Amino acid sequence: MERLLLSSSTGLFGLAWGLSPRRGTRKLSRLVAWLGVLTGLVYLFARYYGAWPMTPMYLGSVAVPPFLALFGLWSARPTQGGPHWPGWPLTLGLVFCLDLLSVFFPKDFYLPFLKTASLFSQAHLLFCFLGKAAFLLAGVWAGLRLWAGPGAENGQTRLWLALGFALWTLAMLTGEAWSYLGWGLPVVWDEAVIVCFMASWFYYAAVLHLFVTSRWPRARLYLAVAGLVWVPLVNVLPDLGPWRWPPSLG
Amino acid sequence: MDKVKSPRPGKFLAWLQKAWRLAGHLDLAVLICLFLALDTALAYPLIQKSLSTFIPLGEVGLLTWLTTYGRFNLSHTFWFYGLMLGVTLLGINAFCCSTARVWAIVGPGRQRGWLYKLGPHLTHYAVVVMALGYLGSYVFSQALPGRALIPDGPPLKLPRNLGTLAVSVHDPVVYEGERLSFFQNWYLDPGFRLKLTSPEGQVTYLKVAYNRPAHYGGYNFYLADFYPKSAEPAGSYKMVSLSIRRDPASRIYLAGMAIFAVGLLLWLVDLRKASRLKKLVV
Repeated sequence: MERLLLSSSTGLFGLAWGLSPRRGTRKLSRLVAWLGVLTGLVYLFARYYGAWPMTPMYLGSVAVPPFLALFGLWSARPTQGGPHWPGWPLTLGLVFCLDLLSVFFPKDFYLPFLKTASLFSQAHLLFCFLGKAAFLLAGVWAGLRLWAGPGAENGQTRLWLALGFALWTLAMLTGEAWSYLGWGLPVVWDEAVIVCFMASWFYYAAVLHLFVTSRWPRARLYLAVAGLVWVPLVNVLPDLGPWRWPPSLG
Repeated sequence: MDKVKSPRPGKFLAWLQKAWRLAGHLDLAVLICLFLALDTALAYPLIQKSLSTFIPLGEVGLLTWLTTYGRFNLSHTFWFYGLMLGVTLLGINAFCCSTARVWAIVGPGRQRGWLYKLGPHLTHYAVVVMALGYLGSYVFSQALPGRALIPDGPPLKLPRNLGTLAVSVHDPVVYEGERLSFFQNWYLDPGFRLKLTSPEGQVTYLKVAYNRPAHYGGYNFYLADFYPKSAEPAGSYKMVSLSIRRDPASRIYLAGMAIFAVGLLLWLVDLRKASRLKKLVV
């Protein structure tokens, strides 16, 4: 049942993406994307319901698409051009591709373990999802700025970078607090994924410094756009499992 | 013997100022951060290939690890030396960058809302404090070996004349609901209680659970593992594994984390106050 929800969400995002480039169907695309977000969030709720008070495992690749779509819908609100926001098709394309990856390379079937029954662990995971989605949206906005000029972006890249960095840092702090309470160490080396987390923190610390102080105007935009490759490669890939065909739908 | 010429104080001061500015330069911060990003991203496959090399890092301490596991597995651990170098440089850069600016913010000519302007600098100082805390933790923390105990079994002698430690079980909590089908009859809280007896015979009881360490005599007692995990088949616990650590530097990095959080909050408020975000968010 849970996998069916995930697959439905992917299908809805795919449909919304297909509808997004045409002028006449953009409103419909938004509606379908909302349905995709709702289905994706229901899937996440089901995973949490099946694990609480423990933390569901390896949700990174699955949880980012609905949050990214939600941030995209926020960006495509009427004051930003509504359904005609030029970043909409690119955002939906990203959402769809990430969701497809989690359907064909699932890893979210692992059972949770008792040590993850901690509010710090739960908060860490949630901040991670939100942070990744904000970084990806910052990449979309930076791409728009490069493609269509300053008027198309209006400081949104910096906004989403700042938000993403704040969320990522909160994820880091809650993760460290959990690590200290659970293991007595600030960094536990049992999971290699910890260095991926650090890598993105350093990467976005560099990008944000450039944005805050208005230095290297073109390079900082390229670095923010490169985040569209960096985040999936460094932070989504470790949450993917082996190729599975046909994908489990039920 | 030739006379050694000492540099003039003015020249030396100018050189020092130049070096300070260079050490705290923003471009340098960006380059160090990018270097660290690539270094740590490269580390992922290396750790995965050689996880057993890195796990002892928390047990044996940094210096021992560097001269044993680190040194003899350089093809997998070289990035860790890069990480240490990069974090050290970043700490120096953050300190130099902020120290020069903080005085201008809090000094005599300070402007309205100066507190919020301190936000980024607090995060910079927090990076330094956290880095020192991690270093202190990995260098000076002490992990005790031989921590597997049998509940109601023989006690473990603690170091520094702290007495003995024994474990007993009191009111374990077992999952009996239906929502988590895979967790039926598993212990939610194994109910371990530590009995610590001082050399004078004074007894202290402390509860220990996952993510809930007990503190006694400067040591922290972490529940690392236990067996069996399930109440069925019925029977007493066979084994409790405790991680016993003494880490005087933990307070330093915890303080650094708190300072970072405060700095981040001030910075976000400042961004919003300056209407940079306000127009976009509201």
